[in-house]
Amino acid sequence: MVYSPQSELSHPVAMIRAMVADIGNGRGLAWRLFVRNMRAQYRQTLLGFVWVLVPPVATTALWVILKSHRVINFSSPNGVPYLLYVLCGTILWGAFMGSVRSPTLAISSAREMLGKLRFPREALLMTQVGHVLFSFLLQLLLLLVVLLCYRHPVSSTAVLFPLGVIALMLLGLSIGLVLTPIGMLYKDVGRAIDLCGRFWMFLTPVVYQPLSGRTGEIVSWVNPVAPVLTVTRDWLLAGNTAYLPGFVVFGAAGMLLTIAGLLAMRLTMPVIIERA
Amino acid sequence: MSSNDLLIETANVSKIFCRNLKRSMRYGAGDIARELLGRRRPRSLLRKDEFWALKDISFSLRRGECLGLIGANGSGKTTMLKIINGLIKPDQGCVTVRGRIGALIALGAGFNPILTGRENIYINGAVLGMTKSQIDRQIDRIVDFAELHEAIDAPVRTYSSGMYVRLGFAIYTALHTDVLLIDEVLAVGDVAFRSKCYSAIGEMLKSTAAILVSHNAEALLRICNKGLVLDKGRLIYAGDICAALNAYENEIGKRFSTQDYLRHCRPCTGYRVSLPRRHVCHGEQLPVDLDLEFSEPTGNVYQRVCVHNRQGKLIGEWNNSPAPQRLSFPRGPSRVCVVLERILFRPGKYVLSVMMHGEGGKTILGHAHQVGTFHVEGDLSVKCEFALPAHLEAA
Repeated sequence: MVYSPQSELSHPVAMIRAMVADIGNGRGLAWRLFVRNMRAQYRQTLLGFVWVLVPPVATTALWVILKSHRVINFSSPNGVPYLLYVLCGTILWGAFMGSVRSPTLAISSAREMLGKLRFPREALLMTQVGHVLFSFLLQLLLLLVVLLCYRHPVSSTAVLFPLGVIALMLLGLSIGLVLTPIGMLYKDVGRAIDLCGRFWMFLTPVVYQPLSGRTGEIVSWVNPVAPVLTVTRDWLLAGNTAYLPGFVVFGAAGMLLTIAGLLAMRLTMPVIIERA
Repeated sequence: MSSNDLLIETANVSKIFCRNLKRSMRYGAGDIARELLGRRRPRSLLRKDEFWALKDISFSLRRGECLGLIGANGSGKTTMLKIINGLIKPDQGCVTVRGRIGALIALGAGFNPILTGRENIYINGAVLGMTKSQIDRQIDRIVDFAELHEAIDAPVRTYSSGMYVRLGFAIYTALHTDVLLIDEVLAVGDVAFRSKCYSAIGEMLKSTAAILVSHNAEALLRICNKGLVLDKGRLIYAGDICAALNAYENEIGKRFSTQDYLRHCRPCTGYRVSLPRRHVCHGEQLPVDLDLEFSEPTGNVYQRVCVHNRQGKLIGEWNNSPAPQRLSFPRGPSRVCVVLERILFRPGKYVLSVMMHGEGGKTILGHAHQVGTFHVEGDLSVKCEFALPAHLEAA
């Protein structure tokens, strides 16, 4: 190994090869850290994993109550119960926001270790994504139970649902990764993510149907999450969807940006360790 | 690999740090941008508020060698280790490291207080790059080494701090590395465990190239064979460890002014300490002259002559307390000479302090703190402060 002031980017092939190797080597560590966090988190609780289900259930309950008292008049697509629609939306939104936060969380939770020991840093990110995925799967289980209770018919497009989830999480991850290098130096970024996250949810069709007409069209092209989330949910609940072009464009962009973001994180890690 | 490959090589390594946090963040943002554009290059000009944390450090280390990094706080020792470990990048020069690096730096990094010792061994092991099966094979040895048989299945937050670092260190004994970086972690645990650590490290050193950062001269002399002295990021000596320690002691010696701190109280009106000889050979005597002046006759006066090593540790004392040597002074000036009979310290530089108390030792008449330095000469190779006089006899 040679450490010099030159940017690693001057040898891109070697760099990508090293990153792939680190991702491979880091799997074991990522799994260990994942298990560690899980055990540490839930060993001192009575309700354990039930806590994962509380946020989407509470959010859904709130909106359903608001609707039943006619405070709001949001609707769901034909044949889809509003409760199901909102529950699915909030679960997907949770997976997205979790992915956005995971790169910053991965680094800040291991700052002590990062500054002292050398290990595959990609493992930290894998651990964090693992947590998001774990919560999502648990919440999905709840969603399936509710689906059964409603005897809601699941169309054949539901097989594409996992693909949608992956696209949604990659989109979140890419946004998080792009913000990470600067976000580690300036704490403003983390605060902004938390604050914007709340508004962003209302700009995204999570608890309501995508707006129709020109406004809806503009929103779906300005807000990358909107088409990806809508398509994913439609695949599971409605069967047909009108937002496929946006999904394809932003899904692909998210994937490419995630790879670029992983490389950027690797490149900037020494600066982050030194300055942050 | 052969037994003496070159494992660490640094060439003109320099590092710039910034003193101002806000500015450091701004420079960091610039560095990130340059890094991402692939335009980061060696730098030689300092921006505002920046300084050289390291400047032009070059050395090389082979397998089986151990280098002691010596220097005052803030001289750049830890920064050097971080660069070699690949955590931060140098601003100039380059570091080449061959083989697997192990850093004995943060004992117990990644430990989770709620989890048991056993679970934490697996986590820490994974952070250090061991696989589960490797740890499975070694776990009994690790627990044995840490001497934590009863406590290993208790949460580590119930551990005492000594147990915590013992477990942290024990995990490292299972690690096989080519390059070992050790940063002042040896001062852990009780005496028995410490000596166990030293022998474990001694064992590891046979097959590694190691760098040890420590302020403990004894540890440095025992473990290292090469020394590097840093002063504010600059290399001031590189070579044999004994000579390096002497160079370091001389360097801080320059900063000590003699007559460092001298005070006297009534009835003592004058107090001066002088050393007629500043260089003595090992085993010779060292006279210390005390010039005193009193405004009235004194009762019995209690004198203490103390010798400190360069780290400020008290390592020798003489006093006239229980001895029949009553000391009392008339009004006016007087002079006494305390002759330290046989100076048996290891060759090096030492500092002398003299204290004078009144009858019963309750009042202070005079205090001459670190008033003189003297050198002990000779070519003894003892590793501790005292060289015991001895000779061999046929049994």
